[in-house]
Amino acid sequence: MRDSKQLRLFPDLGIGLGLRVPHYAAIREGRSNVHWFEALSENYMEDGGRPIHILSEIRRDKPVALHGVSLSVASVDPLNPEYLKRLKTLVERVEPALISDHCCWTGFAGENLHDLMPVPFTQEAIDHIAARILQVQEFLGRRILLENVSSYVSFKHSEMTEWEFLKELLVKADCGLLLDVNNVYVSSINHNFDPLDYVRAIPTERIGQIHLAGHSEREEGGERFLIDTHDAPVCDDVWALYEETVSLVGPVSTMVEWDADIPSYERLEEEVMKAERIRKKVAL
Amino acid sequence: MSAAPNGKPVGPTLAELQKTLSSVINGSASSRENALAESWIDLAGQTISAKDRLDVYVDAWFMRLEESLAEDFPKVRARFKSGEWEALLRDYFAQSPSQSFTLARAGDAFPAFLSEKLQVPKWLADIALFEKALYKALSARDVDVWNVAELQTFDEEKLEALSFDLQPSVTLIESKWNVFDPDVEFGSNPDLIDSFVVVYRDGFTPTSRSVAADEFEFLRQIANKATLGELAQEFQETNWLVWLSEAASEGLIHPRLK
Ligand SMILES: [Fe+2]
Repeated sequence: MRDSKQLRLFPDLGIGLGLRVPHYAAIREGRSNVHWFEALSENYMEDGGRPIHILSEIRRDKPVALHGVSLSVASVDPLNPEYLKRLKTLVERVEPALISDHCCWTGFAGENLHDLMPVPFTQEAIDHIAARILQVQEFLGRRILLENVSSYVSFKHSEMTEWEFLKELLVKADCGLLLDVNNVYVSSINHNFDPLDYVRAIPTERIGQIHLAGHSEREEGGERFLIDTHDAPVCDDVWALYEETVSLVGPVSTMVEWDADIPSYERLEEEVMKAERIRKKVAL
Repeated sequence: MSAAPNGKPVGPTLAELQKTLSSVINGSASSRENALAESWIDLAGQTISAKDRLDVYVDAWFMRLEESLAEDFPKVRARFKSGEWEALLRDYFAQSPSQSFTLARAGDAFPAFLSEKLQVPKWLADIALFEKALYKALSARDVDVWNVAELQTFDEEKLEALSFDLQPSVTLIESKWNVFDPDVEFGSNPDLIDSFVVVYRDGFTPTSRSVAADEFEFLRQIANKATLGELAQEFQETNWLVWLSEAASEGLIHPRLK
């Protein structure tokens, strides 16, 4: 396990949940036992309206992490200055404990595909993404986290594995990793690798946050193929991978994402409490 | 794909890859581009084909945009059978690809797109404008409601020259059909009746109010920066003072104070 004296680049916030509209009532009524919330940045980057008021209210009681989907840090399009300006305004307003987006591109030539598109694991991509992360971090005045995405395609011309790619990128960009354990698992099935090789390779001090989520499964020619749907409980294999990760990395801010077929707030907390039990068990 | 000296296939640059994959996903790719994209995919020794893998993104792209527009334009959506709606949206996104950081803006050009479609009745574009105004109001900049009693503190000269801004949440829409009345159910076509509506926000809740032609014209002139003196003259035969105070208390207008 990670030595507690080891340099920590990011705070451990404990266990959290993704802040979604159906949960507003439970949280505002004080029925929440998690330590922090993760808010989807883009939902709070509008000019005004109810969401930002609620987020500011929640922020008075608990730490908040901001999680974006449209930075498009791997795109060959220029970074969007309007987007960055709005993000910075939000950061100044919310003072988040963590800021993250994805290691992906979301569009080309001005079009937003609204999806997290995977990159080829090449030196060209490392250089391109690292330069842009440095630019974003300079603009925001702080270090951000990049999340590994679930992927359904990988590329023949990749020059290294995903974990080798991330390892070099994180150091070169001097940023953190939001390790989505479910995404590691989904990609490991879809691209036929051992997820343990992945989590063991990441420099532990760079892991600043962990995502857990459910996925859906289909069969293709007798083989499993997984889709990252966030519509189900976290599966046993992912819990096992999480336990392995925490035993390597130590306690890291952990949250559960559940975005479709969203259950009651109480059911969600029940899910994330499993992470708390694993964190405690591993700490013993 | 040829091979580099290290034995690895020479692949596309990041720019080539993103250009080609984008067109595969949004359905604009030629068969050559589709084949090219498939040739780049590593199957990792598995049976699932490159095309099936890419289709996960292709299907998700349309589903996400379709869900978003169906949610933002529920009344327009209800007028189409599933197949027609899908064809219409594919056409729309080919013409107006989403360019915003948020899906909430993906339908911004949809009312204008509908108004240019010959096969689509003109009143449907008016409904789309109305639905767009509602979602625009939802996330418009917050402003304080202005107290109309403040006018009593102004001298006559200042009152004459005073003009107003519509609040950011406000949209004025007119139609030749009775499409804004929530109580009017129309199975086939709405009635040909001139209709006027103002969409705004009550607290954080988007709402709307039907108005008569003269009050609508009054609000439109306010939007065009008419001064209080000009308004008083043009609308002297009407209830304009009542309209003004209602517009203020509903948070529709704000004085342009220097
Ligand atoms: Fe995630």
